[in-house]
Amino acid sequence: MIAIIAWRNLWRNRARSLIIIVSVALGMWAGSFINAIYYGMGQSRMRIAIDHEVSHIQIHHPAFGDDQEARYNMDADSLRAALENRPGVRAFSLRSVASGMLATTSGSRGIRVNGVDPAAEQATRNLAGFVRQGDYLNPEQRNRVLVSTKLAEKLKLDIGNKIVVTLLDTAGAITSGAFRICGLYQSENAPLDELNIFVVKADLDRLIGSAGRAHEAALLLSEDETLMPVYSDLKQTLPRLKVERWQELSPETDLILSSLDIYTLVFMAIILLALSFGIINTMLMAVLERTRELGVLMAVGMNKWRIFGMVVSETVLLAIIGAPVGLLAAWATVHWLNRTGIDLSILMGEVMRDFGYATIIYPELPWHNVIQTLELVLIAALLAAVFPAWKALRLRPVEAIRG
Amino acid sequence: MLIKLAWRNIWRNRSRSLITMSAVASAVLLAVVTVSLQKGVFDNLIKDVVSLYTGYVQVHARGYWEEQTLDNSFEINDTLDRAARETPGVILAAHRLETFALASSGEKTRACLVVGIDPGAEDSLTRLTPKIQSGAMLRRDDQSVLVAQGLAQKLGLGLRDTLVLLTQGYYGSTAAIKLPIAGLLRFGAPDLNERTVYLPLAVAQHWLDAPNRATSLVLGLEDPRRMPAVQREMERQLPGRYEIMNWKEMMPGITQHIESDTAGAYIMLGVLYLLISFGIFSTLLMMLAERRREFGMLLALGMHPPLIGRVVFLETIFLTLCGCIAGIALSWPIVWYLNVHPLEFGGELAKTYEKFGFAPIFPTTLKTRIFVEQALLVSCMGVILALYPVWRVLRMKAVESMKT
Repeated sequence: MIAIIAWRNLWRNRARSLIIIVSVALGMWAGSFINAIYYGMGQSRMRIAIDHEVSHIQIHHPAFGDDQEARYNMDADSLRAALENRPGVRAFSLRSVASGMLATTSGSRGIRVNGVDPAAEQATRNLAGFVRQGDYLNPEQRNRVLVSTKLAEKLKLDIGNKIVVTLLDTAGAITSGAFRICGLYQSENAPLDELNIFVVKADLDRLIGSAGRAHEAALLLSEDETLMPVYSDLKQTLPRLKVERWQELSPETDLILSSLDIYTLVFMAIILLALSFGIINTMLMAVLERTRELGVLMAVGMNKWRIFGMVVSETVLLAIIGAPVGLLAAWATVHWLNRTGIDLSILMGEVMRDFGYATIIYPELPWHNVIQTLELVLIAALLAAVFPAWKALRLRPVEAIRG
Repeated sequence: MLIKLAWRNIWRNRSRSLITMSAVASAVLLAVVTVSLQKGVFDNLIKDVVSLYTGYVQVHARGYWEEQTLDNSFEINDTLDRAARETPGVILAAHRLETFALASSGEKTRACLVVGIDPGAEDSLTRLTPKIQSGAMLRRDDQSVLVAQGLAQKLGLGLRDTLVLLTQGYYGSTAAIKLPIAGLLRFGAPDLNERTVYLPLAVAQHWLDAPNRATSLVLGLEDPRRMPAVQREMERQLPGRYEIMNWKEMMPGITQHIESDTAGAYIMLGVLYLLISFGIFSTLLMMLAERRREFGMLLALGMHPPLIGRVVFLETIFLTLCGCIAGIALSWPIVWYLNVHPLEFGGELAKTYEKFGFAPIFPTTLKTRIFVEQALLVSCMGVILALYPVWRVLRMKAVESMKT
């Protein structure tokens, strides 16, 4: 009954109704849009970390740790047996790793030599996709190396040059080997690029005596969601090895994701406040303008609580109309921006690109966030309706009619 | 005359005017709180990052950053000290002598980064004292070391045990020293926590056979925003054999993170301005709807539409100005409160922050400029929005408006 009166009231004062519908729609749009931007930023950072840097899970010898000594390695065959056809694992790459020095006439650098199976590495993190010049590693050709454009620039190297690396082998003795540069690569992470060079695993194994062994296993899963079950499963299967998730392998990414979550929270609160202020103001004006009408209703015997209920239900009805409109607008904006991307370098200048960072964000709107935003907007609208309705309660019928 | 009329109109319908004012005031309030929160969080993050290790700006001998060896160290001299002292904005300068060495407990040996420091200055720059987990901070003439807790653990050493440091000295000879551990430091960043050793500068110079030499001069700034100016000024004063680097150049990884946050913040502000300008606009629309009859009457009585338009415009301007002043008055205590008692987060988020040694707090910054800027911006919005009712009034027809 009250709802019907409220519904009819909506169309008596069209200007007010439209304003509130638009406010709610705008609030809903803004909330979803901000959510989508931060979610998109987090996702792109996470994708880079998982798809291009550390993969979902890595396995090492427990003592391999920071010093990365070649003598702490694992049996490659039993690892392969454990990982092959494991449910949830899309691809994995077994690597031999050795730290050492790369000396040229233009200077020397500490480097990390990664011995990889080109096909497995490609399946795990698309290394070939980063090759800017020259060719990806080819298992048929012996002693080829892939170095980053950054390192090549610093040490004045080019494709076809021969480099000599000095390494510690599995027994801890110093050894050295020569490789010919077959290609130059560049990833999003400049500091890592400077450190890592890639060779075929068999070549490195010959050099440091790690045939049949592996220092690192990197796993790419079919889905992000299965990370926890696969992780705890692996820990049980390989109790004597160190199994780590990407959050531990790339703590910076975890930090960025956490701070983006906090920003979303804070900004949502601000947007909801802005929305509530808008609704309160408009509804208050509407109530004050209707003083006479409300006075008459009271005078003819309408209960105060019914008046309160009427004003609140008017706002709620308007919010229920406005929210889907805003949601639709948000969906359309996000959908469109997800295709074109937002180029941050327009806002930030060239700073970000200098670091090889992904400068384009692709907003994304996951369902659970949409529903959460919807709930929050409706709650804010409801709360914002209470004050004007309370104001209406305090009107005294006689004065109201006279005024 | 018009001004007087406009002013009286405002007080004729007091509640409506107060609502419009409060719309403007809340717009100012939200804009000020958002911007000072964004700036505050940003400054706080930079402060955290910088106090991790690098400081805001470092001066090295040219080529040191590319090849960090003692060969690229410099002699401590007056030119450099004077340049640092005389550059406006620099409040602190601390020399460091850094080298890679082997740290040993006798049984176990690890590679580490040894930093010779001026304890007092270093403490103000990179906040060492709060990182001390046990033991005490170094003093200038101590003969002892501070060891990162992760490294001490790996070496199996505790407080007051003896640490042996071994490396190549300045002239290429082997340098070894035995020192007691005066304190254990806990760093948030894992790589610092597992490889850092601090000792007094004089002890390091003696040990490395590099008297009066340093590898870097770390600068503390009064206002981080003036970093580019400080860097330029230092570059102008110093001869070419020095390189001057800021933290952004030294830590590109974290810079990426900060830059992307800033970009997100701009988008956020854009969205907020849209919302609050609509908030103001909606009160103006309501005002128009309510006063149709009144304007119609004035027209019918023969008042020129442009005149009514001017009165309405002036009214809106007055309301905006009063609203802005109220907004500033309201936001000041809120921003101040959030500056003294910053927003704090717990749970998983806090844990990740603490892993890096960052406090999970979101303080605001209390700067007059932000209040003035945002109030001006909202006033501009108010002026632009005020044109709409004027336009509507100009198009009004007396008879139609008086029909309801």
